Amino acid sequence: MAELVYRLEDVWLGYEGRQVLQGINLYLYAGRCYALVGPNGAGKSTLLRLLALLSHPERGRLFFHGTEFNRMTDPVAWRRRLGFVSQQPWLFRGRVAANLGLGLKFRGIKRRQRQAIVQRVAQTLGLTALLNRPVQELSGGERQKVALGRALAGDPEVLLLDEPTAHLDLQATEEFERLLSGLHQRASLTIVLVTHDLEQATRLADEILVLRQGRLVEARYLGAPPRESCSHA
Amino acid sequence: MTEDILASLALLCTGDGQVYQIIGLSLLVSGTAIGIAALLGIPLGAVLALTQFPGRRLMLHLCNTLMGLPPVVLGLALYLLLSRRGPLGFLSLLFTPTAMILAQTILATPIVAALSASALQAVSPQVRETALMLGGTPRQAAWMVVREARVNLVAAVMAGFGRVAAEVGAVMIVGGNIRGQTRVMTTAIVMETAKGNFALAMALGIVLLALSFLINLLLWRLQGSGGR
Repeated sequence: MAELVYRLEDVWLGYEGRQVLQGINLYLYAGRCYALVGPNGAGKSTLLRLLALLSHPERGRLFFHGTEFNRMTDPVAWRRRLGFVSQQPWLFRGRVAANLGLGLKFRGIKRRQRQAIVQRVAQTLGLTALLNRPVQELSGGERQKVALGRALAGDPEVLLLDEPTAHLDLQATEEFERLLSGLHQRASLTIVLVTHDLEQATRLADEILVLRQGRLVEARYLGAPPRESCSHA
Repeated sequence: MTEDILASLALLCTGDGQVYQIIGLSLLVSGTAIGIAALLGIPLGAVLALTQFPGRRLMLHLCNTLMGLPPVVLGLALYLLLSRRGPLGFLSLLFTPTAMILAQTILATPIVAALSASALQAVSPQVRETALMLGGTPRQAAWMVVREARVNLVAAVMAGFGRVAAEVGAVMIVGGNIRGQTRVMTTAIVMETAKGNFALAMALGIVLLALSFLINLLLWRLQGSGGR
């Protein structure tokens, strides 16, 4: 039985006087890949920020592994179980290796162990040749791979991706998708992918969640639905 | 005029003891003041830029207002505080380099704080969010913001140094312009000009100008590098 990772109960959230999310009910299970689709302004990125434990719901309740977000005494520890890749990721000044190891440094992991993890992640993503390269010399696709590697270095249970291929060319998009589907098949990683591209959603996701005007209006299963219940209540 | 310029250059080149003593004290006073102002102003700017608390906006306005604090007004206030009959008279600081450092620190701190706050506010919110999502604590995330703004933070400190090194009113009042003890470049220029000793005044003016040029050059180089 797949473990329930997120539970959202009647979640509302406003931004600049507008109700962006309106009564979201959602169950997300471990090991599945979810694609969150919908028109601009539907609330996809806002929902992803909630899942990233970066903003609190104004109304309703958000549970991560059964613990309510508003009652978490140490959100940093919970957030360390997540990985996040944004549309145009911010890479910190310095070299690729330093960026890949930054999250590990925050966790107090010793230099030697950090280097070993960075090497392993770089090998998985084909970044080994770039480890000593300053980040400002990277192409868009390489930057996105570094951001993915940086998120994976912390060994997250959940990977949250906010339109990660929106600014990539076709070739870089294909490579990024190949990496993602490899990760999804190999590891028991839960993935939530915000995308505008329905074809990409179909290629990568087990389930497509459709958001419109802040409401979840549809859940479409592309593989077998989770046995326990549907994601969209 | 030409004679005065030549004489001033001669004073600089021949290693006139009085000139170098004045330059040394100026750098000591302004350097110490800006060091203390950086230690106070950068953390204050970080608190103003990165945290939320009641009165934060008021403090920002206060810092911005104090950036334009007239040095003579500050000099007068400090004089009244430090004079023998003043509340801090027992410290016997009036007409000492310490009083001059105190005056310049008070002048520079709001400049460093306000410019630091503005530098930190200009950093993309993505920096803090990225650090948090990489598992950083709020403090680690704040440090990453400071790191990203470091070029502009150095510029803030240098702007403060430029202001205090060229300041004359406050150090004149609280330092007293005592030869060999509290005479700095700016106060010496005022006095030597009044005495008609233009060669010494111009020699010190050249040094001040060169200092200002150096600061601007460094700022330009730093900002040109963009830090990225």
